[in-house]
Amino acid sequence: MANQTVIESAGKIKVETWEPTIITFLCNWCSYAGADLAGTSRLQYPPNIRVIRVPCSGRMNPLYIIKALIEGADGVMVSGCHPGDCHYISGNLFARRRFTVLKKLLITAGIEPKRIYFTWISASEGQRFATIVNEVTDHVKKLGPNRIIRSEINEF
Amino acid sequence: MSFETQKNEIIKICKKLFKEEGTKVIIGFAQSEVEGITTPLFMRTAEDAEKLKWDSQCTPNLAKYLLEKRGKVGIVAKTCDARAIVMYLVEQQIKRDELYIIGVECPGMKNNDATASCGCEACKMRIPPIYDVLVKYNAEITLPDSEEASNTVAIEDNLKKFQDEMKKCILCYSCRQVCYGCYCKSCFVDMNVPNWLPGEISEGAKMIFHLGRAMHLAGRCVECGACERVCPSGVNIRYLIKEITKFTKELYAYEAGIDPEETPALAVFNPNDSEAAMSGSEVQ
Ligand code: SF4
Ligand code: SF4
Ligand code: SF4
Repeated sequence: MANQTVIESAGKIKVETWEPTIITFLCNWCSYAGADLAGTSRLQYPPNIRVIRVPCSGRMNPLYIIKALIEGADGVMVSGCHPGDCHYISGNLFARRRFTVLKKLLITAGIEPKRIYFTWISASEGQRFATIVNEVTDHVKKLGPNRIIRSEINEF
Repeated sequence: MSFETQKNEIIKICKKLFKEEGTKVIIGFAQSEVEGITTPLFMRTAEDAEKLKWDSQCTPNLAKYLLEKRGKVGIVAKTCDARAIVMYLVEQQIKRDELYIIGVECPGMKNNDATASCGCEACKMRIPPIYDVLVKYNAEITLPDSEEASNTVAIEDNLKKFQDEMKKCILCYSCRQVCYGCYCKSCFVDMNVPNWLPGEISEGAKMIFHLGRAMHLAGRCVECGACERVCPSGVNIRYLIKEITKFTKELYAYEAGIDPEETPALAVFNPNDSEAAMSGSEVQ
């Protein structure tokens, strides 16, 4: 599914490589610093992620994730501090319940579970950040473009 | 006993409330001008109580009207109304001591074609979880027995089902208006900043609305079925909410609208909560 057929204006058919867009929400205190560390350590990871910094994983409004997916993101990744390490003590523990229910809801609505990735990354885990981004990008590439929005475009 | 005797008893209680307790208003059911349709009744005097209706068509969930009333209010509550009342108490929207609940044991409501009304088809709780006085049915009530089969179907089928329902929706927001849980002063769909919904009625807008609403009702739905009943396009949107209600019940042992002392599942946490959703593993 990685290749998509695109018809250009002159009627020529061109095969274009499809690259997924993965919206990534990182908490300010752990995961964002972890991503920074990955950068300053010159670790390689795919350029498919678009990072948005949030104060805490507990600040993640489920609507952010829903809206990203419906507006065409191929994947969403959210990362916060490890349980017990939250800067605000328990934000990530509230978030964990919310994510669990949200994931169930999205599966019920037909979004593949592998498109949505919740995880914990601490400020010292630059390597882990790079590994996880690789893993997520792999999963999403295998799944292909996000159907929930593409099938809508096809129909209208 | 039957509906008729229950009704007489409710009327008696209402009259007593007006006379002895000085209750200003009691919310109940009345027959509307259209046959087969029940409308809310706001009783203010003992005479008004005579207009009360109690039969198998009293489907509306009356709890939402409590939010507009101040002072001592009475309400006729079958199980789902009472569960919504419990949730309002939990969410601190109403005060218990300003409320007089006439609990009515509910034998189950019927559609006009005599099939079980939506919400009632799977309801096993016929005695309200909270009341000041209980009007019993005093006869055998047959409870639905079959558990709905859990749908572990292919993800493609899930998507198709969801999109098929979404196609029917006209974004009239009736389901939101009628739901006890949707009392936000400013709902996310009405916001301009941020603009959650795209400006036009598109499939995407409908999906964001329904997924967002389902998420807001996660662990709060009291299974009254009102949202499905009022939909002018016959959208079965409750299947999404039902699925997560079942899920929160299994995972966090929480059921909405039973215990006024218990905090809703998503408003608390346990340090040992399941990590099922984390690290890309699948929730099933
Ligand atoms: S979501 Fe539907 S069934 Fe649940 S409480 Fe609201 S109106 Fe009732
Ligand atoms: S859909 Fe959500 S924001 Fe809107 S009224 Fe319901 S609970 Fe409130
Ligand atoms: S009542 Fe029906 S048509 Fe109206 S917004 Fe809800 S699901 Fe859509």
